[in-house]
Amino acid sequence: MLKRLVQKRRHGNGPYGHLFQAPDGHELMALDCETTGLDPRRAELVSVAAVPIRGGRVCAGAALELHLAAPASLDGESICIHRLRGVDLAQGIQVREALEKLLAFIGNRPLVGWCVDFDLAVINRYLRPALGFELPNPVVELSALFRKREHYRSPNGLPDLRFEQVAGKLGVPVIGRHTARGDATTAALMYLKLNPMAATGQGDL
Amino acid sequence: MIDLDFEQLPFSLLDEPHRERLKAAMEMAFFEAGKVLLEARRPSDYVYVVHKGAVLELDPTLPADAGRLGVYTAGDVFGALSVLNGRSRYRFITEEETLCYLIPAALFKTLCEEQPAFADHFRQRLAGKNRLLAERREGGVTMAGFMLARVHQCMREPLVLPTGGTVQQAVAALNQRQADSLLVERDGRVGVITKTDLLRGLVDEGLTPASPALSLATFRLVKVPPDEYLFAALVSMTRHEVERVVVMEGRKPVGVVELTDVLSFFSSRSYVVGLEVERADNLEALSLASARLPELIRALMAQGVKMRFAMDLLAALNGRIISKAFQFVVPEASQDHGCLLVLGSEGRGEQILKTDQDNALILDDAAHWPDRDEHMRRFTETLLTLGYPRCPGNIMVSNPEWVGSVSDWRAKVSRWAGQGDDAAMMNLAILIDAHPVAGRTELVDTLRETLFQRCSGDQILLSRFARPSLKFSTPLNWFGALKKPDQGIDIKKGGLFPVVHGVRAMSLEQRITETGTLARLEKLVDAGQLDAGFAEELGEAMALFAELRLRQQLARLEGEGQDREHPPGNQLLVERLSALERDLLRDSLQVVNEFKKRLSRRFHLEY
Repeated sequence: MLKRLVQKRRHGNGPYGHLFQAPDGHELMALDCETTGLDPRRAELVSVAAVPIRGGRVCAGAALELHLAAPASLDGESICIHRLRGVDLAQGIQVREALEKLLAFIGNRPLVGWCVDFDLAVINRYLRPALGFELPNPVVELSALFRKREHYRSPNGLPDLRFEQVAGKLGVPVIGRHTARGDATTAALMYLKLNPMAATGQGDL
Repeated sequence: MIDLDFEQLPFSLLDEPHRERLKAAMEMAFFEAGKVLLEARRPSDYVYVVHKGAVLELDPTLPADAGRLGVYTAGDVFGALSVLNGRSRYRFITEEETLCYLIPAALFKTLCEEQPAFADHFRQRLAGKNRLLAERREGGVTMAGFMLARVHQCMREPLVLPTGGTVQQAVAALNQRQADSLLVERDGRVGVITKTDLLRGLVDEGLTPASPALSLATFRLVKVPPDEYLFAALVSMTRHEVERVVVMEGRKPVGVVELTDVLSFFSSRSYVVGLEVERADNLEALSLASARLPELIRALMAQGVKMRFAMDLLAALNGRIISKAFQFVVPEASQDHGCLLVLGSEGRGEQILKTDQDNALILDDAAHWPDRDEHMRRFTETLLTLGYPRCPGNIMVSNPEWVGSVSDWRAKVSRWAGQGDDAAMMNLAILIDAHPVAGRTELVDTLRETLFQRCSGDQILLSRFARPSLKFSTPLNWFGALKKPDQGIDIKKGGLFPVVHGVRAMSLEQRITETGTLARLEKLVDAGQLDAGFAEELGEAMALFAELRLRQQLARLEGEGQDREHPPGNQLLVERLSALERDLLRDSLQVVNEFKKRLSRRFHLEY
């Protein structure tokens, strides 16, 4: 919180000032990254996708998907999960360029994601040295929304928080699992289910 | 990520760059169950592709079951025709929670313009769909009509030439009876002489008008028994290459079936009448088609088609006729601002013969329609020429009282509900049965919602509303047997009305939007207000009353009028019924009595 205030003061009038404005509440951005590992301190970005949610609709077609140049830590183990080989990333862009595009696309919109903290940690790790600030956007954590809903329905139960299980329970089709764009689309649909106000396009967050 | 198979029709008709454009613009949205995605006659902003779930296509002007035109599930495209035509013909409503891809209308039009194969795909579907609909609407009954009709329903009285009759006598008899053939008898065998035989005799064989005709007769006849299926008779005519068969009961000829009779018998089936209504492009054609309805009803009754199906079919046909008449009379621009309702029995889909025209008009608040009164007067006149008599209570669009904007209607409903006297209750009852037939059908839902909001929770109002159902006594005596007054029993007041009105009152309380009595009964069972067995008995009772009444109306229509045999009005002479019918009628009236008791407990009508 304090960090955000300090960064806003420092960058609020700079070239990225618009990121620090309060969002207008009409749009959200579902975000997902594929990385080379599960440790946010070491994992490197492979691809990142953002899908806009606008007026109760998921603009799946208008999504942004970025593939980065193959990072050094790309190994067999992570390729098995996201199926992006070194060759696939040969066309990839440099990290700095990717960050610029991502920031321009998501702007100041609130970010929605499944375990979005992990994705933010990875992105922020790149952002800090490059631009000197972290993503200031408000964040909607889907797993927290889901846990709250389940707790309300059965206070004593422990919800099954695996992504596929949750999607199944919400009646959301899992689209392209373990691709950044597919997971982001699924996350966006889950958000519509978890937040019926947003699904009718009336409320904001 | 668009999880759609672009190798499937219709998207496989797009080339790669257009597919990319489509992919980039697609959106996804969830819709909860029961949400109207596309309203009839409204333009559509999107073309929808179902990803998961089910969407129903409904024709809101038809009774519930007949109105279900199609179901769209995963992978199906709908709304495309609505975008191409500028507006939707029917209502699309989600049956369960549904996830759809949305294609913006503007993009879809561009795709159609730039990729002709893609556009053709949808145009062809439109043509195919129209044909399918016409077949479906009449399908069941047509097949039944074709398969079930018997020879004796269609045969003519035999025209027998006395022994020794001359050619001249034969010709005179044929002309007099408008027939094509006559029968002769020789040594106990039956032969037939046709017009062709007579011509052959006069021209080729040199007979004179005074010669005996017997020598021209053919004695190798194709015979059928009277209870043979008409279909079989048609088959044997085809097989023997003849144009008539003789109907024999034992060794006695009882009738003749001509090929032309069979064809015209089949052509009076509902399918043909329905097609004629659809094809009619002016008022004359429409009124010709409309005039054939009684004939159709008689044929349906003769085949023993269930009352419920007959009602549904006739409601659909009447609805189409009125809707067409509305389109002919009212200018296109104004049709989009108003909704034509049919009320009363027509609204419930229970008017089989055209007994009167009860109708009303709702306008949206934005409507500007200067010649409205003139158009409405013309519309009423038009219905009159189509064979719908005037409403004796003047509940017609030509009466400005029954025309108004949504807010006028709202005011009227609350005024009537506040008045609480019999006339006001009658008006409310008539309005609750409203069913849209033309124009902006969703306006009716608004009206009905208003009615429910004002009336459904108001116990005192409901009690007043339900009271008339006890107004007429059931024609059963103290021992539960049928009363037999000389002037007959009034089947409408004694049987039909209490059931219809009681069910209507309960539906008002339960906010049931169906208008047909049988459909309402089903909903009441679903809502736990009636047990299924009793509801079924009520439904059967109502069907019986309707059938008895209809038979009487048909008899009157044949012009036998006001004599002792056919008393006026809805009077039913008990002694003219068969023993079985009398038993059925008694049991049904007992069900009505039981229903009245329940009503009186429920709405506190004892006092």
